[in-house]
Amino acid sequence: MLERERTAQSHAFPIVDSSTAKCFVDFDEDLQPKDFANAAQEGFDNIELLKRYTTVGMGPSQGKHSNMNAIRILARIKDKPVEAIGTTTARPFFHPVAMSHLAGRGFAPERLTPMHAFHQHAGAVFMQAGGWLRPEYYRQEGVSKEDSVRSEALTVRSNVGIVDVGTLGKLEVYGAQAAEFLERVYTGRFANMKVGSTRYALMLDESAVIVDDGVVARLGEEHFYFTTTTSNSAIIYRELARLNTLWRLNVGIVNVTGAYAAMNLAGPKSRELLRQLTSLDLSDAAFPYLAAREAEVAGAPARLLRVGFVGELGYEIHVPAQLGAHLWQTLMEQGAPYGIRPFGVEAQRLLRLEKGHIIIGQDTDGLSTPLDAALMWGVKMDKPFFIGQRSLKIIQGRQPAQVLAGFALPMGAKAVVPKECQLVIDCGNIAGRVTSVAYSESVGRTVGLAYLAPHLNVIGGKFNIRIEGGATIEAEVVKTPFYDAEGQRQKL
Amino acid sequence: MIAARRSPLHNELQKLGPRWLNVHGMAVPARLAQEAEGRPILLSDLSFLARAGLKGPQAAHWLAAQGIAAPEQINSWLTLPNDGLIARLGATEFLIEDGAHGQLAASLKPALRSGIAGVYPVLRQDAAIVMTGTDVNSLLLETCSVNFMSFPLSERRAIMTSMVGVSVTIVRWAHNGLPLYRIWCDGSFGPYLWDTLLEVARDLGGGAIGVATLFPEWNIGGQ
Repeated sequence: MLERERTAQSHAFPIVDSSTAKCFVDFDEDLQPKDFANAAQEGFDNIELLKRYTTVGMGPSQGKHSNMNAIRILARIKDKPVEAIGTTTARPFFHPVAMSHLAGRGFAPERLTPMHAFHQHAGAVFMQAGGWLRPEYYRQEGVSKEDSVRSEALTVRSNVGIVDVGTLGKLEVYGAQAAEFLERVYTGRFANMKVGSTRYALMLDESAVIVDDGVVARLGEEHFYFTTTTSNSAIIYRELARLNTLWRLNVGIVNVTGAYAAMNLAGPKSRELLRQLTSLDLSDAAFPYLAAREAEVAGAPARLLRVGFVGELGYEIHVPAQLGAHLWQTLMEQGAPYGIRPFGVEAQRLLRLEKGHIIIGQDTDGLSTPLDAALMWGVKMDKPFFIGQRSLKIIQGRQPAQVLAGFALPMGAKAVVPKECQLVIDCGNIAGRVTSVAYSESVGRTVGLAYLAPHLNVIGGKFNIRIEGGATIEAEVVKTPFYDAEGQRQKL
Repeated sequence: MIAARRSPLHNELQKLGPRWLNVHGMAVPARLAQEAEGRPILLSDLSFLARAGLKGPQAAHWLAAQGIAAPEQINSWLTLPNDGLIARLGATEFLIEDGAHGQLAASLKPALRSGIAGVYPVLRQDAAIVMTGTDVNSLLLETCSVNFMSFPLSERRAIMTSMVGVSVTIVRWAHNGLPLYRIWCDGSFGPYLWDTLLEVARDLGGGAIGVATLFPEWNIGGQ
């Protein structure tokens, strides 16, 4: 058998390189012979390594037009026969797929809260969040998005606002060891919680990276109701079910995320409004800040959590989903004399930023620990065990590379607002990044959160943020919260 | 009673010109402006039916103590008086649904909320869709990977699967000599599931129908 036949090369070497013109081998990835030569020179001279280094065959055509040529080029570079080079691993689709097979229906499930129609009617501009559609803000005729958001936020600060928080994960844990279960899962202490109280809850993974947070309410000695972030509810439920199987504690976990509608009624007039709809004693003495109560609101059996995510007197009201629209409508109607307005995710983000509250996934990333995010106040290291405790003990003595800090721009710098993820530059080096930033009418300045190298994290210290176009803007490290530093407004 | 409860499908049904009736405190689409009666695939909303859920290691014992015969086999179901049903969704989890005039699920809720050792209430706020018709299997073929034709109608399986990307529980009955499928999903997915099923059903010549038209024997629509 001829060598040519054995290697099945039916045509001459097809690559004609040029020193002046471009000679593409892979049209998806814009690869030329010189890219393969460079890869081989760098030591990536195995076909699998060459593929990963150059990304040959990784484009839309999945190597259908370029892989064989890449093999032949590598063979020539290594001065070996083609069969000695081998091939990369082909994955589906191995063979051409008829377009008709791809032309069927595409299914993209989305989740709606029971109040969706009311949001639509109120002009909501929706955004995707963990598979849900949430109102980002409510459009007003002739008003920009930024001004609409600020106006919604100001309504919460001055009167009363309502935001749909039904997308939060909602879980229940029952049983004699329910408190023990939460003690293991979250970093805080829950065994000593009184029935009718709530507590912030922070969840870490085994490497002490922050994975979720929420609020735990104790509704009975053996019954806790707690929230997770919108995007993580299914993941957290699955993980808790797995841990329950592993630990074999006497607990039962129920996922009621979709079964409860939830809304946060917030603002200095929220108590006055809510009083119209319930017989529950709403006085601060009977229902203080961070308490949880069960009562009827507008005829609906409700769970009420007095929380302060947006930094005002406020009540998170959870009712069976089928009664969510009824309660929302009633609150809007009864709230009209109080100037109630719905507010969206953007206003909520601004309000919580003014309070310096973080959002998991925005102000943390896949490496953030409570040490980095300045959340050690929520971690009880003296507990016998919680997930991530061992890793946290190991890293606790080390200086974090960056820590989350509050910052503000000078007064009058309203025109230039840095963007999230823009870099903090110190002596020409990257020394952090902005995670949240917005102009706050309530504070009168642009405020934000940023990860900073520890030597920059000095209250009153200055640092530079590189903004669009390469210019830098000076910011000042400021203590959080930016608004209502004593936290008096949520305790009214 | 004021119709304060709303079906998860309320806004979707509103587009079909319903004549609303107040049943169990929920606005129910008794009839639609354009009923799909007689078509090969019919879809309707049964979210108004009362439901109770429970789970926990003592759930089966507790049901027995209440005189409720629960299925012994996981992922199976039994009928209850007054057109109700009980489905066993796992080793320790049950769904009870009343018929239009049943009271069992509603009567169990206070006891479940009182705190029984080893029995935990599960709030059920499902979107409940029913589909039937001479060509209903064609709709299933396009939307669900379970082959319901592979087991006899007499086999009462409660199948937990995925339909157009949504986790659902499905049981099959017979109604007027035709297969009838009961589908439950998390209410937040309800509008998407309903819209998608109705779109496919319409492509296949089917459509939506009011509850009173589909189930005249329930006598909820003032015939």
